[in-house]
Amino acid sequence: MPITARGVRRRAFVSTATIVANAAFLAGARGLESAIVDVRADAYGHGLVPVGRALAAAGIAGCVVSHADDRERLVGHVGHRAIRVFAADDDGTPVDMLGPATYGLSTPQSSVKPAMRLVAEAVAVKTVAGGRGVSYGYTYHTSAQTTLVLAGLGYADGIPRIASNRAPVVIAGKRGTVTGRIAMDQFVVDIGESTVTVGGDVVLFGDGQLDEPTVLDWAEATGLRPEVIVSGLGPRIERVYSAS
Amino acid sequence: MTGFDNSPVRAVIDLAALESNVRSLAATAAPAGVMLAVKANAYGHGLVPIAQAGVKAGARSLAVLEIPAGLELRAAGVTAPLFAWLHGADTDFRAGIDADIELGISAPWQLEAITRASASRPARVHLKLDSGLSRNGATPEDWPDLIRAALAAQETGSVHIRAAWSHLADASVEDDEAALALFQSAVTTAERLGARFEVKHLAASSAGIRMPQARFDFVRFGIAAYGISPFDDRSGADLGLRPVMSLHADVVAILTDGRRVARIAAGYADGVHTAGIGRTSVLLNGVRSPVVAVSVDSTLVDIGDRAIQLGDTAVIFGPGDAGEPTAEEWAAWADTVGDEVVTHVAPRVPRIYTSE
Repeated sequence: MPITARGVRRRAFVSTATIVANAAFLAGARGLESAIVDVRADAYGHGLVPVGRALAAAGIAGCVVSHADDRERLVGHVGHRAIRVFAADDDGTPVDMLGPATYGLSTPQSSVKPAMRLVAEAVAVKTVAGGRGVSYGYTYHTSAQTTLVLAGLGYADGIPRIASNRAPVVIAGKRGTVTGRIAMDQFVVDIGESTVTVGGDVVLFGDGQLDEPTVLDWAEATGLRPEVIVSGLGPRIERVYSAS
Repeated sequence: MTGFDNSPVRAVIDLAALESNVRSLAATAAPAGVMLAVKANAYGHGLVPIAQAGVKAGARSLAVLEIPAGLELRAAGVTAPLFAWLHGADTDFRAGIDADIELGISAPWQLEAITRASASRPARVHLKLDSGLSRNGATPEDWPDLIRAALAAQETGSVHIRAAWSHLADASVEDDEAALALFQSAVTTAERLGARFEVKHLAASSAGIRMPQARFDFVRFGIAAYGISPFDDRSGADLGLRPVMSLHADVVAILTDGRRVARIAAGYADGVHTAGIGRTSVLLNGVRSPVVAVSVDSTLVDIGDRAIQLGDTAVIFGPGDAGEPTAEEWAAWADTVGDEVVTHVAPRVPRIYTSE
């Protein structure tokens, strides 16, 4: 019996329209109807079935999944005549496929857009004095009275611990940096003066054009490839889809 | 055994090791009891099997982090006391209280939400002090207000004050001792305000092992129970603990690309860390084989001129008995902690449970 009671909010908003538009841009003059799209690793954490359905509806020629059982799952949703589905473990990968750039995961960002926006919930907001240590090992101390926000995502959700004290976030319109060590289920942000309240959004990455940090900023801060970061996002994070 | 045994990548979970660790930690902590932390899908090991094995080995209660995880255990028939302490603005407190999940409480808004939830019984609450970690919990400045709000809610019957608790920063022994003193002083403050605590708890794995005065009524053991040391300078083996999870991946191709490499069936989307390449290695047929590249579904390892067959099994990490890396070794390579190595093993990797 699935548990439906609500707990901490952890959400990744995925725009399937952005993925389709990126694929169309990358396919160029050859057109989507000849494109094979890489949807391995649950479409790099974006969700195999919703992404595969949107791409099939847009008329792509085929896609590549990780494993044979992913192929069965996807074909069950899109129908076996809709597109060709290659399983990388059975068939290998076609030489000419559209890769992680389809999800906006490669530089330059000028022509493809990131398709995922990752948002944590502010589960605690408090005012503390200067000189307070923050999180395990006290790798950070507040410099003056400030607002600390506790975000309900941690490395068990795939937020890389190596991003501690490095990666950017936005809270109530204001930029901050992950403060102190990222823990298994939570991290802190020293946000200074802020209007945020409990239940508010902590945006880890999203749309750079909206002044949000991007997954590429997180890649730069951590030294990890952006597709590694999004593939590692865990099952407690709800994927919320929009076709816009 | 399950039908996943022939998956080319699998996490083998040694429940006998988990039980042995819990028994050993219980002996260390006694007369304090053990609350076993099973948050984050039991640190990636699988919530229900670990909870059941932990209770069997003597854990008196289970730390689940949040109400939905506790409900999952109740649905699986687990009757042990459960403790949840991370709540959001939308958290369904009523479902948690009705399922007799004890609640960690850090701020008055949570008491207000509990009162509004009108559950079938008073919520049993553990009031949390922020003793220096600066995460959840009331700061010493805000603590008296939290106590007064809890006493008022107890007066109306919506809560029953069960415990006072906090969590240590593991920064240094001196810092942890300062936090312990702060905790004891906060308990005194609360008692002067009229609060009575049935139990108190403070220590997790590290203080539970090295700081007897922090054990109080029970220790919340997490990472140590999974056989991984909470310390930088001592291994799990040094502490008499045995790693519970091993990650295995079969050889699915042998390639020659300047050098001979084997492709093994676990990549970064299975949880293999990409940080630390150049240092990282796996054990393949008894020999450490350096990682050359990690891709989405697979990893290439250097096999030199050794005879390797398709289907041979690489041990990415394990207890270390046969010379394979441990999760602790991967943590050092990837500049992290063993906790992240095991929790990062992806849901798509089948967990195979053994108990010999």
